[in-house]
Amino acid sequence: MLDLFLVISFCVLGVITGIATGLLPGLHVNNIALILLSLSGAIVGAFSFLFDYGVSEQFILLLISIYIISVSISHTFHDTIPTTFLGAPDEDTALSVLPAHSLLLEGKGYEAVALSAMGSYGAIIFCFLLLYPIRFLIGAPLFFYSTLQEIMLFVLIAISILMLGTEKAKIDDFGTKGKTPSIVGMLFATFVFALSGIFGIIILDFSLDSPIGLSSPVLFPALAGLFGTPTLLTSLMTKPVIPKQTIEKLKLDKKTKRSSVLSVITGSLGGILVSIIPGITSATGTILAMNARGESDKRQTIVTLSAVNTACAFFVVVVLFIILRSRSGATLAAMELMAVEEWMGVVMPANLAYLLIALILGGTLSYFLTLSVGKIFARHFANVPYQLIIGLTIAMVVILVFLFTGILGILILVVATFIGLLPVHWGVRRSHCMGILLIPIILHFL
Amino acid sequence: MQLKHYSLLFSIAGILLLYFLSTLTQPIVIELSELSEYEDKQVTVEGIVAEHYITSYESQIIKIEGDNATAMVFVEGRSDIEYGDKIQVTGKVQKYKGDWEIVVGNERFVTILQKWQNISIPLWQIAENPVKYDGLNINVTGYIDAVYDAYFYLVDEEVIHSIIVFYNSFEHGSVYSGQKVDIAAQFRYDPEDLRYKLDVMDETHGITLSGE
Repeated sequence: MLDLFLVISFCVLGVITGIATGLLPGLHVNNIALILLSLSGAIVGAFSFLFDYGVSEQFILLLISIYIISVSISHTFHDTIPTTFLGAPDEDTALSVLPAHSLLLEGKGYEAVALSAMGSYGAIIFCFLLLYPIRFLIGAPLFFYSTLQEIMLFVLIAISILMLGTEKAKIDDFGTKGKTPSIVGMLFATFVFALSGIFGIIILDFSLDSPIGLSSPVLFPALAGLFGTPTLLTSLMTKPVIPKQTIEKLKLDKKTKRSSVLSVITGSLGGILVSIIPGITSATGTILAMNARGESDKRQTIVTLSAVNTACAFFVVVVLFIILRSRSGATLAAMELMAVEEWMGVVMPANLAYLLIALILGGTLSYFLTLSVGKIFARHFANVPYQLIIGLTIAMVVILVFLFTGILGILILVVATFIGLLPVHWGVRRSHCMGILLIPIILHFL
Repeated sequence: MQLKHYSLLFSIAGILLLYFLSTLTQPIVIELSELSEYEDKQVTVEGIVAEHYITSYESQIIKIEGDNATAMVFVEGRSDIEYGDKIQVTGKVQKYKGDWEIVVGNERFVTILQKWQNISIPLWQIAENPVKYDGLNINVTGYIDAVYDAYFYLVDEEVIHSIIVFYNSFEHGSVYSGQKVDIAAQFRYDPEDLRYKLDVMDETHGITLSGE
């Protein structure tokens, strides 16, 4: 009974933390996971009083994993709020800025949040239904993952080409006639992808030193710089004028309902794909899903994107137990903290069952909390001292990078920020910065 | 110049600076016993292959020994190593399920320094710490002592240490007492007879006249 109480408590704590990380666009859940991983020894120490009640150290480490997974699922619900109201997306939500922000300008910011929450919660339900089919598909007896591994090089190259080929930015610095701006846009996207790749190849072998003896993951300053700080800096420099918002319960007609179900399904499948293939993110999954969906309606874009994000956060956990590979910072941390037993038969490993409780309970709580926080934001966001909060977040990211990775980490953060600013300033997709992982992985398979 | 041009300029300049710095920093060469002091650092270590296998996802796990310590090496790929080879690996030190391991991103970073067949270990060295060699392929030089149907005893020059050698065939016909031979075999403990033995058991093993 105590075990269940602790699982629920850590899940609720995770959901609450996920609200904070979701509302602060520069604070990605992967960073939180890495920080918690470094502090896991201290956290076990802090909860050592539970030993007296028969709770083992392994179970406390499992509770920390539950907390991290709950943060990640809650984050995927709440990150839509700054994306909608402040036009301040993080890496995963960058593609939904335009549709969500345009609804905001129509006074329907809350509707955008509600659509996103619906897409995310729909993904949780759809992923839960697909649990066993996916288990049998990628593990025994079908071993789709083994087949995929044999052709992984071609899959990754195809995804990279699709990402670059579907770039729609137009850059008119080298001419405004005909297709020149579109071609330059695509070439610039390729440049950002390649530059990020070179950056990745150089830094992935770096040995960083924490001035206070913490573990020093090189991806922390790199990803914070590529996706976090450029967003924060941009938000710091923009102060949008927003009309009064109307807050109405989401009403969907029959056609929109059917369309939304389709968006949830394609988005979830995109998210599941992201959770299996290394080096791609939700943004890539969204591009794949949107191409498969063929729907350009802004409301359905929001639903699809939210489904991709949440399905990815859900299935990285499941996939971890099937292929024993982590595909996110959250699962990487969980893998380090607890025993990951391969899910081979029909009965799932106990630790996965605990994490599923966190995913479903966390997802359900997050759905209602997103609607509530979204309502509060729609009513009061004009009064929130957001510039100050963003300034403090930047300072916090810099301090954390220094504490974890030292001066060299700060240098990586600065360079990554300049690379991350390229898509913002030149108008191409941020997901091209994932070249930081994709190119080294492609080279590895060559 | 606009802001977007500055970001372009500084991102390229930053990458060049990082590249320059990367040429100055090389992985540190450490002993196996020092792994715990280098968490998340790129290091280079040497050791003898004590175990190796391929996982179901085509990664390779190698257990290396040396300096009275052992460590697991996780290789994203497949290197062509054998039990007993002396290897050098370069990778990142990480803790996995409570134990230290070296994560090697590519099999190119696993270098075979010496094949086990080329490392001759004197009998006295094995006798000092037999556990260290248990299960390994080793190469030993010595003199044939008493010969039986499927085995013989090998002794060192001073006739202080001896070990039983099991074999199926000898390329020079028969073995004779007093012959100096090089033996490539698996060294392992025989629990039934409570002793260590050398097994000439597969095509990588063999007995050759010393000096040939």
